[in-house]
Amino acid sequence: MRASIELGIRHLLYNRPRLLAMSASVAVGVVIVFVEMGLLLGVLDSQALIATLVRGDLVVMNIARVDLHRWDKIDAIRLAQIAAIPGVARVMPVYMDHVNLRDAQDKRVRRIIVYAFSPDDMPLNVGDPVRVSAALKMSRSFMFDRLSRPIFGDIKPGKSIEIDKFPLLVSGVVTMGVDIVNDGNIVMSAGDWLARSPASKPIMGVIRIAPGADADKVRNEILARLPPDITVLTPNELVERENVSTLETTPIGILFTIGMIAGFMIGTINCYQVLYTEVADNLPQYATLKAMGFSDEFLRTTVLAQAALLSGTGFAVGLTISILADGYLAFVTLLPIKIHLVSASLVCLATIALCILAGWIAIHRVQAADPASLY
Amino acid sequence: MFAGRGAGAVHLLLAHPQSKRMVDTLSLSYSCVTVAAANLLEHRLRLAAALSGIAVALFLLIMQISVLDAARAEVTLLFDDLNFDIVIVPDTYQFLLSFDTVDRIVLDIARATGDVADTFGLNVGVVHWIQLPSKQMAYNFLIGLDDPGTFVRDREIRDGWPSLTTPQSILADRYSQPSVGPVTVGTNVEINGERLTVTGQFKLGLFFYAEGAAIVRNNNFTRLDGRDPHSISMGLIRLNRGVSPAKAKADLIRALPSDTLVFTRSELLDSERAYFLSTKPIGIMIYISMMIACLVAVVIIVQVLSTEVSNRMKEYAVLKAMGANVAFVYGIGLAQAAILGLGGLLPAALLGMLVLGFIQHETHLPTAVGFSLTVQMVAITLILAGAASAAIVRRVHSANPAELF
Repeated sequence: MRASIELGIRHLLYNRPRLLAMSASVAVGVVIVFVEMGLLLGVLDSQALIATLVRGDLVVMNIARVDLHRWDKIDAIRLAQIAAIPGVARVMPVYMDHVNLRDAQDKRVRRIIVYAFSPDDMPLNVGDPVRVSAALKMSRSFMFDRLSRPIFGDIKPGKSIEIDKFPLLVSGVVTMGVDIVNDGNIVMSAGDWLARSPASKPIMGVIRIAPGADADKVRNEILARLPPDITVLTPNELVERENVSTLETTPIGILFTIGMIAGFMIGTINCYQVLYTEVADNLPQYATLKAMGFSDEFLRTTVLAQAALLSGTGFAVGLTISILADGYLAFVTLLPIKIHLVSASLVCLATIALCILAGWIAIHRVQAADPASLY
Repeated sequence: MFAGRGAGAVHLLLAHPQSKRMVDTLSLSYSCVTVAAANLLEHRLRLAAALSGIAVALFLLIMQISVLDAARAEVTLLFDDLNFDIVIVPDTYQFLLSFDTVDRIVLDIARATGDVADTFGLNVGVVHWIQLPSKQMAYNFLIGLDDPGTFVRDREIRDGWPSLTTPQSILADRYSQPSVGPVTVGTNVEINGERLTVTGQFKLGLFFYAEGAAIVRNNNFTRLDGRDPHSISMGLIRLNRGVSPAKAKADLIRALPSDTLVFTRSELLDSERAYFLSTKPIGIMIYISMMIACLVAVVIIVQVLSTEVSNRMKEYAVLKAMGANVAFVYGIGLAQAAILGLGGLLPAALLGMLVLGFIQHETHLPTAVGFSLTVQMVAITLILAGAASAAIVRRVHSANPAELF
């Protein structure tokens, strides 16, 4: 057993450039899988972004706001009602709207999303809380999301930028992100925002529960005591709800899943192909081994060991290229496209399994090696 | 006599060294194809597997090209129906669905430049479209037009226009999504608290902006949308004969207030497409999926060819030893690649026609497989087949007759 594994591995290691070429064919499949998966998760993560930024235990929204790209707002009174419920420590309103941002250079005006909240205890995690809070406290100012699409012109702290025709000071940058629908974000303090548009209603409220209180109980209490025009979710539930909604309303799920399956198929076919060619090219050697009395079992293990080694090197090469490819995609799409640890581990396991499967098929070839046909 | 002369001419032609070379090339290509086909047909099961893999990849490619083309057409659909050379928009304009407006006076200013033959006001907005009596709500794209004159190209809109006799009459898009409810003539709906009646229909299908669309006269649009009666979303301009759009644009920019922008027709269409396909990541995502589909097709063809080469190395060596041209051996590989590619394209195209025809029927997006897509796909397939054979050509070259013995 050990001898056969060693033989297989040494045989592959003998010709390093060839091993690299073989790994590269397996890596093609790995890269396709990671790119398709990166795009899918990137779109899902970006659409659900705001839910992942929540600094609180529960989120309250209008019941009609079935996904995060709807504009149904809640009455501010609901937040006050929730604050009065036992177990609720704090309820923080978040305002959201469109504003027009004028590019000082080309004079073009573009729509951007504004989020507004109190700088004292922030409901969203958009950067270092101390720094963001200090910057938001400057009046007549806003903070610019550094991950916005690069269509808004040169926006740097200290500059004065026209928002809805009024010049405001850029007091700093925050880190949020864009999605397919929205091109960029700015953040203002709730005070500044309400001074501009006093009739604004919150788009959501972030709830912190009192120490020791149970989130589920508090939620049930809120739903029982308030009119049925609101919905209360934990941030994780909100992320999941958004993912389901994105998958249901767009074809991206099917599109990228087919792509991933294609990637796995290509990886398996390639792995089979290189092992098959490897065996075919060395058929006389395998036949000699067989003629010398080595068992079919021995030859099988040799090929399987090669398949296993190839899955490892192929995955490593593929992962390296994928990190670069996904980095490039993140750069051009500005979506949060990255390789998640969990999904990478799953792809790794799948690569090993599929390579072994490919090796298993290639073994038929070895078993056909007939010593007699050699001469 | 003519026959004799004709035969003589053919003979002469054949005797000419250049045509002899051509005939040789033709017969060589023919032999390549027959050998290639025979080689492939030896392992029917493997051939079927390879063809279905290639077909899946090419099917995906057809879908992506078609969706991209449809998206490109969709984002300029409304403008394609309107006959104009120059457009005036507010400086907040990004794409068709922008909520800011300009004052109608820009049309008068434009006429005063002397470049302008005619002007037209266009209003667009999204309204709550409440079906009656069910009270179901949908988002509808409401379009307000001045008297169509020569600006509107669409027959049905021009024909339906005279039916807009009362402030409560409206034309509805027959291609609206089902969620909008019935849109037949006589249907009652509610917009902004007012009851309206559908008096005519047209066909657009503007899915990028709302669930459906409807058209009213501009004086009714401003009332229904709660807009200032003097405001329009954009002003369309048709120029006097002989005036270049570039000159007119410069004149208009000089004359108009600084909070307006002026685009020529082609600039406007380019910027609409760029907004959806370049600013948004939609374009790049489709391009990457296309690249992957191409890669999959190439990889499968390379696999089949490389198996062929390893299996038939001895046969190639024998051919070479018999004095066969290297071009002949390469030709077999190329012909195999082409047969695989085109053989996969056929089922892919048939399936694509079915699926895309169905999509066009359901969504009215212009996705159906047409002549240009077919030509495009054949060209892409042949390029992919060529790339695949180039990838393994070196291995065929290494077939050495001496190794045989």
